[in-house]
Amino acid sequence: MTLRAALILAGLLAFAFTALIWPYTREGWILLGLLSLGAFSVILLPFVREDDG
Amino acid sequence: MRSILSWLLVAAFIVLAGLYAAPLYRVELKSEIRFPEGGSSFLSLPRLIDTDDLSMLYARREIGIEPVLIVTRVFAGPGELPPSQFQAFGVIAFPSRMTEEDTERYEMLCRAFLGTIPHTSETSGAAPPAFLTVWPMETLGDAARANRVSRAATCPVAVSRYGLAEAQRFISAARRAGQSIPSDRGPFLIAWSPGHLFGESDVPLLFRDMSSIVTEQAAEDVFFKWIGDIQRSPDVSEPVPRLLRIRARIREWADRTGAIAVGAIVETARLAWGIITGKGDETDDA
Repeated sequence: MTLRAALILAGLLAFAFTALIWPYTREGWILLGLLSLGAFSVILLPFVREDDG
Repeated sequence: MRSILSWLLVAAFIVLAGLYAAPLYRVELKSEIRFPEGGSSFLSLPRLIDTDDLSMLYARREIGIEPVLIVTRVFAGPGELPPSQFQAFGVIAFPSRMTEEDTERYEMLCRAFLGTIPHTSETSGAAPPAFLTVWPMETLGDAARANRVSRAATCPVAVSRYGLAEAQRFISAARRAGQSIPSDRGPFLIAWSPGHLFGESDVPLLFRDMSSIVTEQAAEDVFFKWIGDIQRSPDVSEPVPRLLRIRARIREWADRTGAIAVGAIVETARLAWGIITGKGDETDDA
């Protein structure tokens, strides 16, 4: 998986996770979205192989 | 191949997320339910209804048990209502009186309280209310006034004349019962079921900490669940699905911390922009 694909995947997973929790405030969405984006990026990092792309 | 697998993983996750999040679309579900004539008035109460609660109502109806006892609210002065006379006696206890900074939050919680739980006077029939949630007031006169004024005018009275001494008495009684009360801003929903357990040591309580609640919708959710908790009491051991509980916790944390974190970032950015553009001093002077 390339870095770009990993970032896209992390973004989608972060969005899905945040939508699953469904915070009631805009600030809740921003915070949870950013945190889960970071978390999923870290999780997917070991699967990144630049030479694949 | 790997790319296809990744997208399949995403699709599977989204489908699973949709299935799990289905209870979020509770309003639509509510409109599909057709109760017989003279059915329960429960459905007109909450804006959001958990499918679990709906299935509970359905199950009750199918086995012929009418959920006729509803939870009501009232504003009460010191010692006005002896808890022992009620099947369940609940209280909304703030550990402190409002300040200028948190007036809006107190009134928001009050609006959710009024909007979710019907007043005792709204219930038909001569029987006294069995399940009561009390908003303590400073004096008997304040309580009478809060009970009498229109709904729109209730919250300013209820918040400004909140019965802090009564609330602290209830919090002490809850501690005596063995309930751990966090050192937080509250409010705490505390109920004794049955009411005659009030004041006794080491008895089970119904307890909810609303310290992390910052939106009216979240407050209404808590109050609606509170209604369910009290109605199911003394069978309070019925477990809430763990995933729903975790989701609610994360949501409350994100809402509360998000407001603080984003507010701090915005303020810092504004300050930095002021320093960069040299307008910071002018703003301060103004």
